Amino acid sequence: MTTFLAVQRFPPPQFTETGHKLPLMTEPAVRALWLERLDVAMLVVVLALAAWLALRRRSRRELTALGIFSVFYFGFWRKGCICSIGAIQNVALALADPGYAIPMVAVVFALLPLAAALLWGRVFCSAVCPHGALQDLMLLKPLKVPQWLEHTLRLLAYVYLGLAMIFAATGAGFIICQYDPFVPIFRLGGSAWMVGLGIGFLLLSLFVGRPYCRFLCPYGALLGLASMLSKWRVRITPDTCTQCRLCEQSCPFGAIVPPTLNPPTTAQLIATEKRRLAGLILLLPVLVAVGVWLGGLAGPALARKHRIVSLAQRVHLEETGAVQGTTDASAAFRATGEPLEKLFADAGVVRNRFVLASRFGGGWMGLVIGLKLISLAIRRKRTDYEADPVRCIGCARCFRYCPEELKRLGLPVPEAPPPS
Amino acid sequence: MKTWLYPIALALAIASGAFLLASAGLLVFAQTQGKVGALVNSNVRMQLIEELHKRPKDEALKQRIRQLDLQLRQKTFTQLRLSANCARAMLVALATFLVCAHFLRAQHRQEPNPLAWGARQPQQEKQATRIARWAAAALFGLLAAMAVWLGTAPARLPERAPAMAETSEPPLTVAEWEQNWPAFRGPWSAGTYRKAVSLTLKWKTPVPLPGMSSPVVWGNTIFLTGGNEKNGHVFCFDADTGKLRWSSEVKVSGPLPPPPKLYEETGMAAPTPATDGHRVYAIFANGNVAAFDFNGKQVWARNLGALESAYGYSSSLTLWQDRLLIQLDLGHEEDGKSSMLALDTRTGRVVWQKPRPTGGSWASPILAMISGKPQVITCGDPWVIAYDPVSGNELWRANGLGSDLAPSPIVASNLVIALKVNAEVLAIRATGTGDVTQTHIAWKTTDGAPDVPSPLFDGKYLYLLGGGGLLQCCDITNGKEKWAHDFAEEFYSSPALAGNILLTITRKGKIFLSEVGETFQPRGTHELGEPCSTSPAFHGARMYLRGKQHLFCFGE
Repeated sequence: MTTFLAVQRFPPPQFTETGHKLPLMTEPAVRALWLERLDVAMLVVVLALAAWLALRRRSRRELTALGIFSVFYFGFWRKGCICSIGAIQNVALALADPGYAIPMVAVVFALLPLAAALLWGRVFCSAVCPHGALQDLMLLKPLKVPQWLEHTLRLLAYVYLGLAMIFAATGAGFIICQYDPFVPIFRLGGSAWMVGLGIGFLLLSLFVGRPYCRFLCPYGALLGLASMLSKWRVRITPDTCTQCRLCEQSCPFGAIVPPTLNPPTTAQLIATEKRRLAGLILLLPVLVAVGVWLGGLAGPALARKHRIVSLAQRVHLEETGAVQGTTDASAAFRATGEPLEKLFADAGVVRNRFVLASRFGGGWMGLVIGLKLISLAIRRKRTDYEADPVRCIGCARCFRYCPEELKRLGLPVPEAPPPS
Repeated sequence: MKTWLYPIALALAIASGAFLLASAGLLVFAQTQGKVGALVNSNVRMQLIEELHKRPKDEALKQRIRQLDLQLRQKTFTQLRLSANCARAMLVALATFLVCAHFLRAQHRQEPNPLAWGARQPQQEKQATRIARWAAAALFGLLAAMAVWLGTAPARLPERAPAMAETSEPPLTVAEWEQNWPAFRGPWSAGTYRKAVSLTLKWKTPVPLPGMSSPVVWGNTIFLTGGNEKNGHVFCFDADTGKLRWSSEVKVSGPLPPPPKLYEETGMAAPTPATDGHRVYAIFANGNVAAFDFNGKQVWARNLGALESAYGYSSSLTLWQDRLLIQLDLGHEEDGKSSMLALDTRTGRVVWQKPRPTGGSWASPILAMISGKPQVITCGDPWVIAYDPVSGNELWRANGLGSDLAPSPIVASNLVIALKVNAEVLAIRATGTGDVTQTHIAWKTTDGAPDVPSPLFDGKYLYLLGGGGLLQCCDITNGKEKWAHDFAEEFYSSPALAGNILLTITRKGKIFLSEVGETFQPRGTHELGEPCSTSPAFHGARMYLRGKQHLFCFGE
């Protein structure tokens, strides 16, 4: 299959009488087992180190150094593959297709950072993920993203996660890997528009903290959910929060949430808020149901991404005279002599699978947006500045802003400058 | 406080930043130059290669292409090296820029001043939450709109896959096939019929539209095709009375290619239809191919694209069981447009399609049983190729034919007789595999071959009728001429043998009857009264022949 998909980049010489022997097409060798084990070992060590640096050492500088190492090891040396973000697609495919033999290294890469997030929060994002670390290194002049936009854009990661699971589970492809903007950077090459996309994200990272991680990364979305359950996650202050507000603007990722204000309220206002909340809770199953319905609607179109459906559609159009000629794929299929009935039957099975997966995906998107609406309607009680477990990636930037932390370290606490 | 490193870092940051911008510009420029595509898509190279196809022995041209090819490869590799080095340099520059920029940023760091931020505004935060709610709802709306939009363009697959059972028909037997005249020149495209037929006119009937196709007969039903400049029609006649039973126009759904240029001597309906007793199949120069049942109802139709051919498309159809076999020899060999196609007779779907290394030809494919196995044998420029009609696999091929190929081959004593127009007659043993050019040519003559009419074999002698009227009788074992007779007339119609009477029909419509074998003995003539370029069909004690305006029935 690899040979079949390989692209001959140059046409062979036109004159065979010169005796030029064409080199045989070769496949890249399978990665040695010990190298795979090295990758797993590296992941374990770097993950543990990141957790220790973020939670115990609370050292931004050391986390940065670890991030640089991850960029070089998991990024430039391993060329961005294998990575945990893409590995969740292997897991999804393995769950949906019992015939798919998932590599053990993919299982470890997909699940280990999730397990770590259950314990220590998103330490994987802090310094292990090369994508995040690279964007973090690029950040020079962070701009604050408005809260409403932050809330909305973060939903895109869940949408992307849903789509990626649909395509992976149906065997249509690993779109997270296909459209990974940083892999062309790590590989120093790629298609023009993917390189452009990667450069675009890097440029954006100069001013927006980790734009891919925050607004698109499907694995980050999963890690965020896992982090909600974590017991030993990052805390800004080692002691009591004095509400000095010094940490408030240290976070370029909008992950520090302030204490709730207690605005003047009335019984009517409270009743309105309660009605809104009740309405949104009732709306949740509706959104899920509509999402399921819309997923079923979009499924047959999304199925065109699958190579079998795409081929069957092309052959069907050729058969009905709607298009003229053949494509390379349809000509190759016809050359096999396989019956069309089988192709159409296979395509029908894939399409149905797509419809089912899309219904799940649509339901998932409805659920996520419904829950977001509910969460925005809940009146919270927060007394201190806290790191939002879903958003905080444990970069350790905020620690050195906290006077309590400085005291703990025995460092001088700078005096606040006069108001300008 | 700024250290002495500050100006160095600043200079380095500016330099590396400028280098990054310049390198990015260079990369964009390299992309616009086509990179690897420079070699693949070079118009000059493609034009020269095209030229070489016309002058394959031009050594200077070959040398020029070689040099250009080398230059393009060198250019391509240079661009690739440049891009790779550029990317590496950019990486180093990026690292330098980041180190310097972070250093400079640290120099400018100011402690946060919450007092300067002012008090938090509950109303503003509430407003932000409200906007966030609406933005989330808008996102859902956007996703919903996208899903609805996607729902309008689902994957187009057949509603249900055609099951084999639903269209199962009793297989066509060889006996049924041989009892009728189902294709051009009869069941085996040989032009021979076991019985003699009297040339007493039984009936003649006008044909609604012109065409150069010959009649095919199944039982007491005769099929013909005709057409105007836009489309093709199929006609069905009663064999006993000559009455037109029905006439149907081919209707293909979907967009159609523009109609091809039509030629006076071929027109829209030069290919002869074929029938299997269930349906009649017809193909036309506009690429329409269709099946009609015996009541004139269209069963299926499709378009194969305009069949652009130098003298007009004329290759007739033939059949093997449920395979409708179509020889599509179009354009030049290097165009890659030629193919052999088998459609399912019940549904019209493509069962197999094989590209052919041939240019345009006007000959028709023929069926033959060789050693008990079916072969479909085709003639093109320059190959005679035999296929397995079931799978489409190529069985053998022989090189030796040329351009302007119109005569169809015949099988005579397990020899395939193929004609290189005006040049050679090839006799090929049809039992080989692969390229049999060097191994299976039994004999070949080099003193000319007919240009349009196809050959004929009576079981002992081979007859070759030239378009100029020269009839040659040759020994099938070695191709040597036994005798020759000049009719001094022009012929397009292929000769036919009914019993022991050879029928040759001139373009003006004069039928010569001759008794052939060891010697040539004229047995009379008959005037049709109108021009004729088609070949006769036989069934029962009758002969059916299409003139320019009429369909004629001779016999009992």
